[in-house]
Amino acid sequence: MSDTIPIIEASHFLMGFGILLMLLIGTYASRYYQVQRNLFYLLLAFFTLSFGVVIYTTDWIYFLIAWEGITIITTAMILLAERRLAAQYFLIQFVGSNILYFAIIMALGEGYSNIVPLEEPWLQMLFILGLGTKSALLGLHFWLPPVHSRAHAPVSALLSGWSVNVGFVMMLRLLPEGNNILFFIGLAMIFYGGAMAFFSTDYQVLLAYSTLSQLGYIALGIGSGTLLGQIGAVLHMVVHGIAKTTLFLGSGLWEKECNGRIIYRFERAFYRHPVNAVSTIAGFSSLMGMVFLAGFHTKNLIKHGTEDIYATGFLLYGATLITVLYAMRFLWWGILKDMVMKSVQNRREKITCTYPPSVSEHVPLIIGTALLLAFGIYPPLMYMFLQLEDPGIVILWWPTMIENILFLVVGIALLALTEGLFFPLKPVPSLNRMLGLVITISQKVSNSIFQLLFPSFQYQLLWIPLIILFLLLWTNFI
Amino acid sequence: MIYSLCFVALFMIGLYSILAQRDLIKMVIGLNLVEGAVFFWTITMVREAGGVPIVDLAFPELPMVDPIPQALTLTAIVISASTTALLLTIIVELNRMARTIEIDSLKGLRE
Amino acid sequence: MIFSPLLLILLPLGTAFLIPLVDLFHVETRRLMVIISASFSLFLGFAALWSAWPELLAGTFFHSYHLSGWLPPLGINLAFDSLGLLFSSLVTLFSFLIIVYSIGFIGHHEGKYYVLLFLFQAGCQGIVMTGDIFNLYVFIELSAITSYALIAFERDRSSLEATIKYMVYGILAGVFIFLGIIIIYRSLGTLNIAEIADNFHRIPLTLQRTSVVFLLTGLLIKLGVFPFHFWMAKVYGSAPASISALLSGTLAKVNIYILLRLFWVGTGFSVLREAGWDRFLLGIALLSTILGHVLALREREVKRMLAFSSMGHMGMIVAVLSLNTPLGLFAGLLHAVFHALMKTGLFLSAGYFLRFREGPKEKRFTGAAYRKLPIFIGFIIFALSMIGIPPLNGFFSKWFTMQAFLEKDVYPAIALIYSGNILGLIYYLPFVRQGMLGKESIMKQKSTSSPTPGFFYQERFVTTVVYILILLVMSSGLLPFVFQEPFEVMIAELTEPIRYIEHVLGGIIHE
Repeated sequence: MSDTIPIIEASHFLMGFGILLMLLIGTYASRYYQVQRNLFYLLLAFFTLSFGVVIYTTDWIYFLIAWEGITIITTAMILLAERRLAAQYFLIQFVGSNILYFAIIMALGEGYSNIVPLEEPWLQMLFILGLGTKSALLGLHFWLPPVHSRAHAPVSALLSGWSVNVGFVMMLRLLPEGNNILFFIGLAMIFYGGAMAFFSTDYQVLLAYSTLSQLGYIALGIGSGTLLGQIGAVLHMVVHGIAKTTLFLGSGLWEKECNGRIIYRFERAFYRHPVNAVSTIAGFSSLMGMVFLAGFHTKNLIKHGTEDIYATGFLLYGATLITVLYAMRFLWWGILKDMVMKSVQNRREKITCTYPPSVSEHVPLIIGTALLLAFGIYPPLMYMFLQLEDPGIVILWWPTMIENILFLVVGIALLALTEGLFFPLKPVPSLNRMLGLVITISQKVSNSIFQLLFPSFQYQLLWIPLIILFLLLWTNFI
Repeated sequence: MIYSLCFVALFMIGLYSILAQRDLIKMVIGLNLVEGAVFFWTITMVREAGGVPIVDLAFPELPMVDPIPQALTLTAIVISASTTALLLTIIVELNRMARTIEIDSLKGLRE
Repeated sequence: MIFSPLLLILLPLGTAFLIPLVDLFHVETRRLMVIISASFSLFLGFAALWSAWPELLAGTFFHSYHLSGWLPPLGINLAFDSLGLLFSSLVTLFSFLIIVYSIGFIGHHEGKYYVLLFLFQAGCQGIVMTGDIFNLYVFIELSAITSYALIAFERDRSSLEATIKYMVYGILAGVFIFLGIIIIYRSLGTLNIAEIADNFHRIPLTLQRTSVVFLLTGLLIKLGVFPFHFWMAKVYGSAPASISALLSGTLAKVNIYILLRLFWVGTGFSVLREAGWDRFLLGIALLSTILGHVLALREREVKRMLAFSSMGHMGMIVAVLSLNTPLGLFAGLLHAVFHALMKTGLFLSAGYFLRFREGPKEKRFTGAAYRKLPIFIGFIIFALSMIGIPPLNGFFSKWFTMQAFLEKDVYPAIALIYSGNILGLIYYLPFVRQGMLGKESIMKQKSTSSPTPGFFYQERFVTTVVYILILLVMSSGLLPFVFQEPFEVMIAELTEPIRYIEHVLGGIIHE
């Protein structure tokens, strides 16, 4: 086995599952988008194409074209939901892209004519900054919750499940030796995202922060630079992609069924959409790293890859705990509360379903859940797709299960003692204030410069003799 | 030398008129002074005495005034006259609309 | 070449003088004549490019025409080299597009309008072809005078003020250019650019530099670089959109050509470099880049915003040219061509919306997307190209520009380009948003100032031109390497002016 991950195989693996996820989202969207369906399918196709170019190309220019292609396509998708949001998203991504252009120009100046691993730490840092905007690294993540909370569910699924991975794939190619800063950013992301998800009251905001937390694991794996960490990161991209897609697609159904996404208002959700409820539970369990689900294996790999570095192994227990807490909190309010608290009589009441899901909406959920289970029960399947040998991590099934149960017990105990940890409702995060500030300040600066430079017509003309005099004096005396 | 001094003086008067006078017409006069100064300087640069600038085949070695600066000046004067005419037309037209030719009252000139 | 290059000047010139004559007899014939003449001139330009292409690639393209048979340095001559060919093609293409656009756009006083437009075209063609420096001055003034009249074409208060402002600047620029030419003539006794290039080093240093100062100031005024940029926003904002497009797309690029011809070939770049003025040029050009982008932020009128953005981009072109490296020249020429495509497109598509809606200028852009979606998408594409989104052409020219700056370690310039990109997005966004505002009902609202009906006055002309420009922007972005080889030839001409001198003087070189 080599020291670093075979990137071509990893690309094939990611591309394959990328196409699969696009198909799932496309299937789901056939009911969601009734008017703009063809447009959405076209955008999906272009997205897949751009994604393929980004992960396969070795040419900087093709990479940039595809990278901007992804920006424009996702912007167009958000545009289906809200114009202002799309503008804000595009602005933020464009700033990131410009950092990336700068990084690439610098890399060219250093003699990297192709996409190859980078040596210089400052160059690595620039690339992390540039790629991080699309991949929502901590500090550059601020667009993620507002966008996810407003965009349509399939678009959120695409963004959160797959689009964020693009940057990490590039980081994997550019930084095969790992990067300490990325490592620590990843570590911080896990806890920050987890904590923010824990305090969220809006389901999609919760999912967005959970994405942030999960991306922390990927950043950790890539930043560690160990083979196990990298394999774990690649697998986690796919597994998290599947889980998040399932969850976001499900959230679209909940949103229509429960008239909103406030988690306290999910009443008897399980009885209304049983399939969705099961897939949601499976998705969250995968995120929590429950045994027999795919997330367990990927997190296990990352843990094995990183635990020797700076006591990370210990910290990751805390990370699991925080994941369990926010996942259990949602599951409690959304699904379990009714099953536990309501009386039997109440439970037998006639359930009226306001938005019965169609087959096309169920199929992606079922496939996603099935994949998570399949990978979880038979992990060599993942390695087979990745064309790797089994890395040979011995999994102690019984202790792990006990560990899982302990975590669950702690989580449930905490929730039961505090009656589900009710937090007052918070407003949905928004970028309006930030963007408004940017525009106001830029206009004020511009206006004052204008007033300064354009005093009156004749002062403007005065520049001409001044410049001529200046040049003539410069010629003859300097 | 005296010609050059004249040129500089005329140029400066014109420039002053452009930069300091508050009236558009005076500005146009200033522009014309600047142009006139340059034309003046152009034709005075050939100071050597000589015949009319056609080579006399009988006496080809006779001194001859360089005709080109005069031709250039003539062309430039035509250009200057036409631009001045156009500028004055436009000022008249503007006066008809704005009822003023004060530079300070015409806020639009500033932007 | 299969025909004389003189034809490229004579055709528009002749048409311009024929128009009022034909107009007396039959108006429809004049309209037909305008189209036919414009098409024929496009055909000529295309044929010139087509027939010259092999020679251009071989690096041997050069054509001259001696008026009345006088050989240089005695007579006035046309010297048509590959750089001239590039800019001549640009002038031909954009004049054609704008004439076609004007057919559906200008609804009044058309006779005068087309006279001026054709004269303008003749002036620009003359500038790029002439080999005589005084002739250059005359053609500069020809294009300037016609552009003065065209800017005042709307005859409202704002456009008259704009014309006065532009004329004062333009006349001063003309005077300075004339003064510079006279100083050169006084020292050398010749007006032929090739001969000036050959002998410029013989002039005493003080006079050399004095003449360069005047020529440079005049040109910088025309280019609208930083301390002389004050006329730009007013003029571009008040002129008819087609004229703004012509000024910012064509005339500005022709001025770039004059800059190259005079200071790279005519005086030799070493004069600028030894005086330290290349740094000065770089400095003010970069300053005007950032100022243009910053000032554009405050504008609520789309054409004024485009004017400031134009100032920013022109500054960038001058800055990258002033590096005087092959890569820098390549980037500058590429950006000049691409910027002409994009800016013309932006002005023309914005002009479409402004023209077909009433109300104050700030509000006329509202609901543009409902008025005509494809044109609005075109506007967005041009804007994306401006801010450097990869598959479009703006990206590639910026890409080479940045590499050129990096090669010379001018890091502030790189930072400025990025900030220009981001500021560009910030100032284009409000207009895109404004265009999407409004209701469906706006779509049904009848256009207010559409010209009188008839075949020649259809919106179709306007929209077709914008579509052609969209196509050009997208295709030139996909095929930037087409420009590589011919541009290298032009750059070789600029860096070795001896070739131009040899071509023009036919091997007669003084010691």
